[in-house]
Amino acid sequence: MKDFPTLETERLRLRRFELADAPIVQTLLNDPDVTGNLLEASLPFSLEDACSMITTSHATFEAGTGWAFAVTRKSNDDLVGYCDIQLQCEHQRGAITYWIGRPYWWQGYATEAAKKVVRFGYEQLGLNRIYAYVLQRNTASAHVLQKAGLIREGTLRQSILKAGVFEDVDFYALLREDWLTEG
Amino acid sequence: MNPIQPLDTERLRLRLVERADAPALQALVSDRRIAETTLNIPYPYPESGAVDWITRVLERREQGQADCSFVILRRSDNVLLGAIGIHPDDAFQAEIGYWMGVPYWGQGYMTEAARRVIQFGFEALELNRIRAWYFTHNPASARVMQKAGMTFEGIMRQHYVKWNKFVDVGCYSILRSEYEAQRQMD
Repeated sequence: MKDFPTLETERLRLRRFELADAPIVQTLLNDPDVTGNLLEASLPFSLEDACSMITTSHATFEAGTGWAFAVTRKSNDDLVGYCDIQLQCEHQRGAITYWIGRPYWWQGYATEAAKKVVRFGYEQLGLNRIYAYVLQRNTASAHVLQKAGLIREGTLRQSILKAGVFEDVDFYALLREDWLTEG
Repeated sequence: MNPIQPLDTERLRLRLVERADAPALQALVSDRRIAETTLNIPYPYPESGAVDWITRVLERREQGQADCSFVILRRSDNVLLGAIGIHPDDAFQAEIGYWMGVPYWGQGYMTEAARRVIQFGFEALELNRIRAWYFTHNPASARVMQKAGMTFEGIMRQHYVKWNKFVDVGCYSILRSEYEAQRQMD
Protein backbone atom coordinates (compact mmCIF):
# COMPACT_ATOMS: atom_id res chain seq x y z
CA MET A 1 0.00 0.00 0.00
CA LYS A 2 1.25 3.44 -0.93
CA ASP A 3 1.56 6.07 1.76
CA PHE A 4 -1.04 8.78 1.63
CA PRO A 5 0.73 12.15 1.53
CA THR A 6 0.37 14.69 4.33
CA LEU A 7 0.62 18.32 3.25
CA GLU A 8 1.38 21.18 5.59
CA THR A 9 0.74 24.89 5.30
CA GLU A 10 1.27 27.66 7.78
CA ARG A 11 -1.85 26.84 9.79
CA LEU A 12 -3.16 23.60 8.30
CA ARG A 13 -2.34 19.96 7.98
CA LEU A 14 -3.97 18.12 5.06
CA ARG A 15 -4.06 14.43 5.83
CA ARG A 16 -5.75 11.14 4.95
CA PHE A 17 -9.34 10.75 6.11
CA GLU A 18 -9.97 8.07 8.73
CA LEU A 19 -13.31 6.42 9.46
CA ALA A 20 -13.08 7.97 12.90
CA ASP A 21 -13.57 11.35 11.19
CA ALA A 22 -17.05 10.35 10.01
CA PRO A 23 -19.08 11.87 12.88
CA ILE A 24 -17.42 15.29 12.59
CA VAL A 25 -17.68 15.20 8.79
CA GLN A 26 -21.36 14.48 9.14
CA THR A 27 -21.84 17.31 11.62
CA LEU A 28 -20.06 19.84 9.42
CA LEU A 29 -21.79 18.77 6.20
CA ASN A 30 -25.26 18.38 7.66
CA ASP A 31 -25.63 22.14 7.38
CA PRO A 32 -27.67 23.78 4.64
CA ASP A 33 -25.26 26.71 4.53
CA VAL A 34 -22.48 24.31 3.55
CA THR A 35 -24.25 21.77 1.34
CA GLY A 36 -26.31 24.55 -0.26
CA ASN A 37 -23.11 25.75 -1.91
CA LEU A 38 -21.85 22.36 -3.07
CA LEU A 39 -22.48 20.86 -6.50
CA GLU A 40 -22.79 17.28 -5.37
CA ALA A 41 -24.10 17.12 -1.83
CA SER A 42 -27.61 17.19 -0.52
CA LEU A 43 -29.30 16.97 2.83
CA PRO A 44 -29.76 15.04 4.94
CA PHE A 45 -26.13 13.91 5.04
CA SER A 46 -26.04 10.78 7.17
CA LEU A 47 -23.25 9.08 9.06
CA GLU A 48 -23.35 6.37 6.39
CA ASP A 49 -22.84 9.05 3.75
CA ALA A 50 -19.81 10.30 5.65
CA CYS A 51 -18.35 6.78 5.94
CA SER A 52 -18.99 6.17 2.28
CA MET A 53 -17.24 9.43 1.36
CA ILE A 54 -14.22 8.39 3.40
CA THR A 55 -13.97 4.86 2.00
CA THR A 56 -14.36 6.28 -1.52
CA SER A 57 -11.47 8.64 -0.80
CA HIS A 58 -9.30 5.64 0.10
CA ALA A 59 -10.34 3.77 -3.03
CA THR A 60 -9.60 6.64 -5.41
CA PHE A 61 -6.21 7.12 -3.74
CA GLU A 62 -5.41 3.43 -4.19
CA ALA A 63 -6.48 3.68 -7.83
CA GLY A 64 -4.25 6.71 -8.30
CA THR A 65 -7.14 8.83 -9.56
CA GLY A 66 -7.94 11.06 -6.60
CA TRP A 67 -6.58 12.58 -3.43
CA ALA A 68 -9.13 13.73 -0.84
CA PHE A 69 -7.62 15.47 2.15
CA ALA A 70 -9.03 16.07 5.59
CA VAL A 71 -8.23 19.72 6.28
CA THR A 72 -7.17 20.01 9.92
CA ARG A 73 -5.82 22.81 12.06
CA LYS A 74 -2.25 22.27 13.15
CA SER A 75 -2.81 24.12 16.41
CA ASN A 76 -5.38 21.71 17.84
CA ASP A 77 -6.01 18.99 15.19
CA ASP A 78 -9.59 20.18 14.62
CA LEU A 79 -11.01 18.87 11.36
CA VAL A 80 -12.26 22.02 9.65
CA GLY A 81 -13.07 20.84 6.14
CA TYR A 82 -12.26 18.97 2.98
CA CYS A 83 -10.17 19.53 -0.13
CA ASP A 84 -9.62 17.10 -2.96
CA ILE A 85 -8.26 16.73 -6.44
CA GLN A 86 -9.67 14.14 -8.84
CA LEU A 87 -7.71 13.27 -11.97
CA GLN A 88 -8.53 12.60 -15.58
CA CYS A 89 -5.18 10.95 -16.18
CA GLU A 90 -5.42 10.63 -19.98
CA HIS A 91 -5.88 14.38 -20.22
CA GLN A 92 -3.36 15.26 -17.47
CA ARG A 93 -5.89 17.36 -15.64
CA GLY A 94 -7.35 17.46 -12.15
CA ALA A 95 -10.54 18.95 -10.69
CA ILE A 96 -10.45 20.42 -7.22
CA THR A 97 -13.33 20.73 -4.78
CA TYR A 98 -13.41 21.86 -1.20
CA TRP A 99 -15.66 22.84 1.68
CA ILE A 100 -15.09 24.31 5.10
CA GLY A 101 -17.41 23.74 8.08
CA ARG A 102 -19.36 26.83 9.03
CA PRO A 103 -17.66 27.37 12.44
CA TYR A 104 -14.41 27.81 10.53
CA TRP A 105 -15.50 30.20 7.76
CA TRP A 106 -13.90 33.57 7.02
CA GLN A 107 -10.43 32.62 8.20
CA GLY A 108 -8.86 31.92 4.82
CA TYR A 109 -8.64 28.16 5.38
CA ALA A 110 -10.16 27.21 2.02
CA THR A 111 -7.68 29.41 0.17
CA GLU A 112 -4.77 28.04 2.16
CA ALA A 113 -5.85 24.45 1.48
CA ALA A 114 -6.70 24.98 -2.19
CA LYS A 115 -3.38 26.68 -2.92
CA LYS A 116 -1.54 23.77 -1.35
CA VAL A 117 -3.50 21.18 -3.31
CA VAL A 118 -2.92 23.09 -6.56
CA ARG A 119 0.80 23.06 -5.81
CA PHE A 120 0.59 19.34 -5.03
CA GLY A 121 -1.19 18.77 -8.35
CA TYR A 122 1.54 20.43 -10.36
CA GLU A 123 4.62 19.41 -8.38
CA GLN A 124 3.76 15.91 -7.26
CA LEU A 125 1.17 14.77 -9.78
CA GLY A 126 2.64 16.49 -12.84
CA LEU A 127 -0.69 17.82 -14.07
CA ASN A 128 -1.13 20.23 -16.96
CA ARG A 129 -4.48 21.76 -16.00
CA ILE A 130 -6.29 22.22 -12.70
CA TYR A 131 -9.89 23.30 -12.81
CA ALA A 132 -12.98 23.74 -10.67
CA TYR A 133 -16.71 24.24 -10.97
CA VAL A 134 -18.50 26.65 -8.68
CA LEU A 135 -22.09 27.83 -8.32
CA GLN A 136 -22.13 31.32 -9.79
CA ARG A 137 -23.84 32.77 -6.72
CA ASN A 138 -21.09 31.44 -4.44
CA THR A 139 -18.82 34.46 -4.65
CA ALA A 140 -16.81 33.45 -1.58
CA SER A 141 -15.73 30.27 -3.32
CA ALA A 142 -14.95 32.15 -6.54
CA HIS A 143 -12.58 34.33 -4.51
CA VAL A 144 -10.86 31.24 -3.16
CA LEU A 145 -10.28 29.99 -6.70
CA GLN A 146 -9.00 33.37 -7.85
CA LYS A 147 -6.61 33.60 -4.91
CA ALA A 148 -5.36 30.12 -5.80
CA GLY A 149 -4.56 31.44 -9.29
CA LEU A 150 -7.48 30.03 -11.28
CA ILE A 151 -9.27 32.26 -13.73
CA ARG A 152 -12.86 32.09 -14.90
CA GLU A 153 -13.20 30.46 -18.31
CA GLY A 154 -16.95 30.50 -18.70
CA THR A 155 -20.39 29.66 -17.38
CA LEU A 156 -22.41 26.50 -17.86
CA ARG A 157 -25.85 28.06 -17.72
CA GLN A 158 -28.59 26.29 -15.77
CA SER A 159 -26.44 23.17 -15.70
CA ILE A 160 -27.31 21.99 -12.21
CA LEU A 161 -30.65 21.40 -10.55
CA LYS A 162 -30.39 22.30 -6.89
CA ALA A 163 -33.41 22.32 -4.59
CA GLY A 164 -35.69 22.53 -7.61
CA VAL A 165 -33.87 25.46 -9.22
CA PHE A 166 -31.63 25.38 -12.30
CA GLU A 167 -28.43 27.18 -11.41
CA ASP A 168 -25.51 28.57 -13.39
CA VAL A 169 -22.12 27.02 -12.80
CA ASP A 170 -18.88 28.89 -13.52
CA PHE A 171 -15.77 27.00 -14.54
CA TYR A 172 -12.31 28.12 -13.54
CA ALA A 173 -8.89 26.81 -14.43
CA LEU A 174 -5.17 27.32 -14.04
CA LEU A 175 -2.72 25.95 -16.59
CA ARG A 176 0.66 24.56 -15.70
CA GLU A 177 2.41 27.11 -17.92
CA ASP A 178 0.73 29.97 -16.06
CA TRP A 179 1.34 28.40 -12.68
CA LEU A 180 5.05 28.08 -13.46
CA THR A 181 5.40 31.70 -14.51
CA GLU A 182 3.27 33.10 -11.70
CA GLY A 183 4.56 30.54 -9.18
CA MET B 1 -40.42 3.70 -24.04
CA ASN B 2 -41.92 3.80 -27.51
CA PRO B 3 -39.44 3.47 -30.34
CA ILE B 4 -38.39 6.87 -31.63
CA GLN B 5 -39.77 7.56 -35.07
CA PRO B 6 -37.49 9.08 -37.72
CA LEU B 7 -37.12 12.86 -37.55
CA ASP B 8 -37.45 14.60 -40.89
CA THR B 9 -36.18 17.95 -42.09
CA GLU B 10 -36.37 19.56 -45.51
CA ARG B 11 -33.51 17.49 -46.91
CA LEU B 12 -32.70 14.97 -44.19
CA ARG B 13 -34.05 12.05 -42.24
CA LEU B 14 -32.62 11.20 -38.82
CA ARG B 15 -33.37 7.67 -37.75
CA LEU B 16 -32.08 5.49 -34.92
CA VAL B 17 -28.93 3.66 -35.92
CA GLU B 18 -29.38 0.03 -37.03
CA ARG B 19 -27.00 -2.88 -37.59
CA ALA B 20 -27.25 -2.54 -41.36
CA ASP B 21 -25.72 0.97 -41.14
CA ALA B 22 -22.30 -0.39 -40.20
CA PRO B 23 -20.63 -0.50 -43.66
CA ALA B 24 -21.72 3.02 -44.64
CA LEU B 25 -20.76 4.41 -41.22
CA GLN B 26 -17.42 2.64 -41.26
CA ALA B 27 -16.53 4.03 -44.69
CA LEU B 28 -17.18 7.63 -43.65
CA VAL B 29 -16.05 7.69 -40.03
CA SER B 30 -12.63 6.15 -40.70
CA ASP B 31 -11.48 9.32 -42.49
CA ARG B 32 -8.72 11.00 -40.52
CA ARG B 33 -10.51 14.35 -40.66
CA ILE B 34 -13.43 12.94 -38.66
CA ALA B 35 -11.17 11.80 -35.84
CA GLU B 36 -9.34 15.11 -35.91
CA THR B 37 -12.50 17.09 -35.28
CA THR B 38 -14.34 14.91 -32.76
CA LEU B 39 -13.73 14.31 -29.09
CA ASN B 40 -13.83 10.54 -28.96
CA ILE B 41 -13.39 9.04 -32.41
CA PRO B 42 -9.93 7.45 -32.83
CA TYR B 43 -7.64 7.28 -35.84
CA PRO B 44 -6.87 4.87 -37.29
CA TYR B 45 -10.45 3.83 -36.78
CA PRO B 46 -10.65 0.12 -35.84
CA GLU B 47 -11.89 -2.21 -38.57
CA SER B 48 -14.77 -3.35 -36.41
CA GLY B 49 -15.34 0.13 -35.00
CA ALA B 50 -18.73 0.84 -36.52
CA VAL B 51 -20.05 -2.65 -35.72
CA ASP B 52 -18.82 -2.35 -32.12
CA TRP B 53 -20.36 1.09 -31.69
CA ILE B 54 -23.72 -0.07 -33.06
CA THR B 55 -23.63 -3.11 -30.78
CA ARG B 56 -23.10 -0.87 -27.74
CA VAL B 57 -25.93 1.44 -28.84
CA LEU B 58 -28.32 -1.48 -29.33
CA GLU B 59 -27.38 -2.95 -25.94
CA ARG B 60 -28.16 0.33 -24.24
CA ARG B 61 -31.43 0.55 -26.12
CA GLU B 62 -32.39 -3.03 -25.15
CA GLN B 63 -31.68 -2.22 -21.52
CA GLY B 64 -34.26 0.52 -21.80
CA GLN B 65 -31.74 3.34 -21.54
CA ALA B 66 -32.52 6.54 -23.34
CA ASP B 67 -30.10 6.26 -26.23
CA CYS B 68 -30.80 8.59 -29.10
CA SER B 69 -28.04 7.87 -31.60
CA PHE B 70 -29.25 8.74 -35.08
CA VAL B 71 -27.83 8.26 -38.53
CA ILE B 72 -28.29 11.19 -40.88
CA LEU B 73 -29.79 10.18 -44.23
CA ARG B 74 -30.35 12.32 -47.30
CA ARG B 75 -34.00 11.98 -48.19
CA SER B 76 -33.53 12.41 -51.94
CA ASP B 77 -31.40 9.29 -52.33
CA ASN B 78 -31.32 7.68 -48.86
CA VAL B 79 -27.52 8.04 -48.68
CA LEU B 80 -26.02 7.95 -45.18
CA LEU B 81 -24.20 11.23 -44.53
CA GLY B 82 -23.15 11.08 -40.88
CA ALA B 83 -24.39 10.62 -37.35
CA ILE B 84 -25.78 12.71 -34.53
CA GLY B 85 -26.69 11.78 -30.98
CA ILE B 86 -28.38 13.45 -28.07
CA HIS B 87 -27.50 11.96 -24.72
CA PRO B 88 -29.51 13.01 -21.69
CA ASP B 89 -27.88 12.92 -18.28
CA ASP B 90 -28.98 14.49 -15.04
CA ALA B 91 -30.75 17.78 -14.38
CA PHE B 92 -32.90 17.71 -17.52
CA GLN B 93 -29.94 18.27 -19.77
CA ALA B 94 -28.24 16.49 -22.63
CA GLU B 95 -25.15 16.71 -24.76
CA ILE B 96 -25.28 16.50 -28.51
CA GLY B 97 -22.43 15.09 -30.52
CA TYR B 98 -22.18 14.71 -34.27
CA TRP B 99 -20.02 14.18 -37.30
CA MET B 100 -20.65 14.56 -41.02
CA GLY B 101 -18.92 12.52 -43.70
CA VAL B 102 -16.24 14.56 -45.43
CA PRO B 103 -17.83 14.33 -48.94
CA TYR B 104 -20.89 16.07 -47.51
CA TRP B 105 -19.21 18.98 -45.76
CA GLY B 106 -20.12 22.56 -46.62
CA GLN B 107 -23.74 22.02 -47.58
CA GLY B 108 -25.45 22.96 -44.33
CA TYR B 109 -26.50 19.40 -43.55
CA MET B 110 -25.00 19.43 -40.06
CA THR B 111 -26.84 22.57 -39.04
CA GLU B 112 -30.08 21.18 -40.40
CA ALA B 113 -29.62 17.96 -38.42
CA ALA B 114 -28.56 19.77 -35.22
CA ARG B 115 -31.60 22.03 -35.30
CA ARG B 116 -33.89 19.04 -35.64
CA VAL B 117 -32.24 17.18 -32.77
CA ILE B 118 -32.46 20.26 -30.57
CA GLN B 119 -36.17 20.48 -31.32
CA PHE B 120 -36.48 16.78 -30.44
CA GLY B 121 -34.59 17.37 -27.19
CA PHE B 122 -36.86 20.12 -25.99
CA GLU B 123 -40.17 18.80 -27.31
CA ALA B 124 -39.91 15.02 -26.97
CA LEU B 125 -37.30 14.64 -24.23
CA GLU B 126 -38.53 17.71 -22.30
CA LEU B 127 -35.03 18.91 -21.57
CA ASN B 128 -34.11 22.26 -20.08
CA ARG B 129 -30.59 22.58 -21.46
CA ILE B 130 -28.74 21.10 -24.44
CA ARG B 131 -24.99 21.49 -24.67
CA ALA B 132 -22.30 20.77 -27.21
CA TRP B 133 -18.52 20.83 -27.15
CA TYR B 134 -16.06 21.38 -29.96
CA PHE B 135 -12.33 21.66 -30.44
CA THR B 136 -11.34 25.24 -31.09
CA HIS B 137 -9.18 24.02 -33.97
CA ASN B 138 -12.47 23.10 -35.67
CA PRO B 139 -14.36 26.39 -35.96
CA ALA B 140 -16.78 24.82 -38.48
CA SER B 141 -18.34 22.89 -35.61
CA ALA B 142 -18.77 26.10 -33.61
CA ARG B 143 -20.54 27.66 -36.58
CA VAL B 144 -22.98 24.74 -36.64
CA MET B 145 -23.74 25.39 -32.98
CA GLN B 146 -24.27 29.10 -33.60
CA LYS B 147 -26.52 28.49 -36.58
CA ALA B 148 -28.48 25.98 -34.53
CA GLY B 149 -29.26 28.78 -32.07
CA MET B 150 -26.78 27.89 -29.35
CA THR B 151 -24.87 30.39 -27.19
CA PHE B 152 -21.14 30.35 -26.52
CA GLU B 153 -20.33 29.67 -22.86
CA GLY B 154 -16.55 29.63 -22.72
CA ILE B 155 -13.38 27.72 -23.53
CA MET B 156 -11.89 25.02 -21.36
CA ARG B 157 -8.23 25.59 -22.14
CA GLN B 158 -6.10 22.51 -22.79
CA HIS B 159 -8.93 20.36 -21.45
CA TYR B 160 -8.24 17.42 -23.76
CA VAL B 161 -5.22 15.54 -24.92
CA LYS B 162 -5.78 14.69 -28.57
CA TRP B 163 -2.96 12.99 -30.42
CA ASN B 164 -0.43 13.97 -27.76
CA LYS B 165 -1.34 17.63 -27.88
CA PHE B 166 -3.34 19.69 -25.41
CA VAL B 167 -6.35 21.13 -27.16
CA ASP B 168 -8.92 23.71 -26.13
CA VAL B 169 -12.56 22.73 -25.84
CA GLY B 170 -15.27 25.30 -26.57
CA CYS B 171 -18.69 25.07 -24.95
CA TYR B 172 -22.07 26.02 -26.34
CA SER B 173 -25.57 25.49 -25.03
CA ILE B 174 -29.17 26.37 -25.64
CA LEU B 175 -31.78 26.67 -22.88
CA ARG B 176 -35.45 25.82 -23.16
CA SER B 177 -36.35 29.49 -22.67
CA GLU B 178 -34.11 30.46 -25.60
CA TYR B 179 -35.48 27.68 -27.78
CA GLU B 180 -39.04 28.80 -27.10
CA ALA B 181 -38.19 32.43 -27.83
CA GLN B 182 -36.58 31.40 -31.14
CA ARG B 183 -39.66 29.36 -32.09
CA GLN B 184 -41.78 32.45 -31.55
CA MET B 185 -39.52 34.43 -33.87
CA ASP B 186 -39.59 31.79 -36.66
